Amino acid sequence: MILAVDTSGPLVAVTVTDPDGVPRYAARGTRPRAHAEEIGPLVAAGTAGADISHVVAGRGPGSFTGLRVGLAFAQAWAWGRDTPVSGMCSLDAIAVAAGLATGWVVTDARRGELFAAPYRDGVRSGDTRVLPRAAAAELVAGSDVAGDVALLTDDDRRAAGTTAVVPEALARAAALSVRDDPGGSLQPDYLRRPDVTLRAGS
Amino acid sequence: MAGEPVVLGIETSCDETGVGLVVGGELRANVLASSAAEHARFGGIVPEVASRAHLAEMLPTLSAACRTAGLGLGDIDAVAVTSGPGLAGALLVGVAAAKGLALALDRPLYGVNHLCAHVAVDTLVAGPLPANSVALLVSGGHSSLLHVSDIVTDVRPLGATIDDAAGEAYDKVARLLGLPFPGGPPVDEAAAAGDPGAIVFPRGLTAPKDQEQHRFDFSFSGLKTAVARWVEQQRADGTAIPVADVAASFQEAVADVLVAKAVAACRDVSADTLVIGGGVAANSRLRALAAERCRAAGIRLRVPPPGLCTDNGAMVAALGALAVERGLPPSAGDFGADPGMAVTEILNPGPGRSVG
Repeated sequence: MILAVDTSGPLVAVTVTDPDGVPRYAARGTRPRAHAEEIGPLVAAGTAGADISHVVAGRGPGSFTGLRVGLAFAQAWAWGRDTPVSGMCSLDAIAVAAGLATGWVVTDARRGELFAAPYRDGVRSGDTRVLPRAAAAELVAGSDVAGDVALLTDDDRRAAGTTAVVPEALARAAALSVRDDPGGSLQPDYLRRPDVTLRAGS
Repeated sequence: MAGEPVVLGIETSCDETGVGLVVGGELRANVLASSAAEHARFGGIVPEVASRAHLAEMLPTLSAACRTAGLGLGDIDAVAVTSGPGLAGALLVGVAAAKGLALALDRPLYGVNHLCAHVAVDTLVAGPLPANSVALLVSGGHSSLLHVSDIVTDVRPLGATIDDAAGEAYDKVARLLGLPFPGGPPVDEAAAAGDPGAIVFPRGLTAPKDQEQHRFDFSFSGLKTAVARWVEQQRADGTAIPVADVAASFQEAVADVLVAKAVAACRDVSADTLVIGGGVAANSRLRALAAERCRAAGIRLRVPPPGLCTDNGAMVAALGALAVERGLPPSAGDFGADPGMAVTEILNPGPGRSVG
């Protein structure tokens, strides 16, 4: 069985799935940004009595702080059980949920920007990127698009995305990632540098 | 558990990723990965940079600690982690990793208070703390005086800084003097060649009018400004800055206030032991002055070696081990990071909070 966790969005998603992506357990947190509080009990409930042979963690893109909770938890859990662990792109779960074959997944990157990743025949076919709303709209024009589609045309910079990783889709995407990329990087897809200014003179 | 409990401690409240292993009150491993060098070019700790480094260093630090201690995962009886106070994003990496590990091993998890852990670490070196002690914690993020009746169950705040932490004042003065970040070690080094009485800098909150409200509080903001003004005046006059004298005089003002208030606190609560912890406890002048005045006042001074004064995982393991030894209940599974965790909350959840 595969244990998969994703904390790229406001709510934790946890699933325990068989290698074909059929979930035996699928659960979601209830409190936005309470990743650290909720992930333990959710994983405990899903892994009780389950024989876990691989752990998968969503590496975003998404909230930096949220991503780290899922990745740190998954790596430490896997280390404690001496079980292989790998990362997957969180947008893959959104493509799966939408049944996207060829096109783009876009999600809210805040600050008037969007994350975007291209898919071909159901498989991610290029790098995930972060770009301004207008540039994203131009990039995906004429393609099938899944995710926060409304943000592509919304002029309101305060408009927020609502697309989230759902545990059932996470199960399918995680199973595919274990099959196709079992050594996938555990580096978070931050896609942005930390906001800092160098001190004068350096 | 058979024999002496093995407790693993994880610390990520600021810029040090620390993992310690303690076996029955004996330190077996204290492994550290620091992102301090990455922050140096920004002139201060950048929380997002620190958090990213914690995630990158967490697993390597965990496995290095087990290797150093010669212990396997199956040997671990309990896990402890700093749950606050500290930088939210940084704390969360440690809390998440600790939860994952404790759950995977099916072992109890203790969320512990960073400040109390700074005091508890001394038990690894000098044995149990007497029932009635005072602790002075001074670092880049904290400056506090605590009344420690029992380090696992009863710690009360006596005072704290009302503006900058002592370590922050060191960083700012170092910057004024063209010395590198973090400022503690270079200012201490420069001060060695200076005259501590060369310039009389202000001692914050020591005036008679402050004795009622701020008897055991600290203020270093005025001191920092006084140093800045003095340096500016010299520059305006076209005079070279006597770096060693400024460093020594500044350092004297900091150490004087810290030690005077700590000794007064010991007298007030009739404590015969003073423990000093935190990164600034590595400062040579603070150590010397505290030793001198404690000797004169008949107070036993306990200062852990420098490697245990700065943030580390051993201190977290030490406090966790004391909680295990006392048979105290572990933290509930749903605790999170608490950036403003009160010092009275030694273990998470503290008194008055519901468990489960």
